[in-house]
Amino acid sequence: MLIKDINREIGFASPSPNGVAALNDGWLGSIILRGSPVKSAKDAAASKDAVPNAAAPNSPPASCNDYPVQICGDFGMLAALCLAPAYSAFAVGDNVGGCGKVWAAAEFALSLVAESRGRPCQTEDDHFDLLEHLQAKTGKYEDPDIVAGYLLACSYRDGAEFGFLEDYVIKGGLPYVRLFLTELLSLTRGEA
Amino acid sequence: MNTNQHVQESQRFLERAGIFTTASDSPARAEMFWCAAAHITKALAVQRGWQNSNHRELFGCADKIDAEIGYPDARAHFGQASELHKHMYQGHMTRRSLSVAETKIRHFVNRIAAAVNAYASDTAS
Repeated sequence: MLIKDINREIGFASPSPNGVAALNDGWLGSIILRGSPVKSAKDAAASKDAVPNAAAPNSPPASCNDYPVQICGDFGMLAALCLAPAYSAFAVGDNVGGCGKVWAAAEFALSLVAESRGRPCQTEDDHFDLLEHLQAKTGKYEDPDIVAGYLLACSYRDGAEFGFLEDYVIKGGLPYVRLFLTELLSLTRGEA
Repeated sequence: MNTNQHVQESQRFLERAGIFTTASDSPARAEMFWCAAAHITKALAVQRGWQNSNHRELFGCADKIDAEIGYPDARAHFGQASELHKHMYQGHMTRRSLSVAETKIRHFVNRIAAAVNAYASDTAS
């Protein structure tokens, strides 16, 4: 099954606080559904659905919709995988598209963690409530500060909407968004 | 401006932010927080001999802060200041985002001011 098929099946169109969902282009469907059987990269490559370079983790498919369905037990790796299409977009100068995909990765990670903890994840207030709940629960408020990481991710959302992020701001912020995603996903119930 | 003047300007802008409320003039309030963050970054930059004459260079300074003073969230917090600066133009941030970002920037300013002062004390003794 390809991602575009998943998008169609799950009808992915999650509401976004600033209405940026349209920028996702169904990209969130490239995420990997939890609970499905694990498929190794080798198996994915062998699958009739696999794209030619799916076995090479550092070579993102030409289209995010071409990702084969697979499960990542390593959520840090999942976060990195989610960002691959964003990096591809930035590499060709599509800053607005890239920013939208960065935000999509964050939005997905938030929904994954919220779902695992039975919390709502529809609005910006839901996001803040979730993150503050996680901070209070873990007692970890810095290094990384996930609320600051979330706000940084929001700047990509706003960059997608307004197109005002400079190249050096985009580039400099990406490592911190990745850190945010990795930290956030480590807080999925059962993962940490 | 020298390091001390930048520190003082940073504190002055934080105080001036209190003149405005988010309800009355959120763009003006947001800009005061940006100014405070920019000045405290410049204070550290001047003290450590970093280039700091434009936005790009200020971001470059923000990228160096963690290695210099051990503050891993510095770049993310500085990013909030930049967002508030953009809010001055766009008015795009929600009330809660503004409030959270302000908290982060106060933390940013205080933490860097402490590092600047500690460094000054160490070099003076």
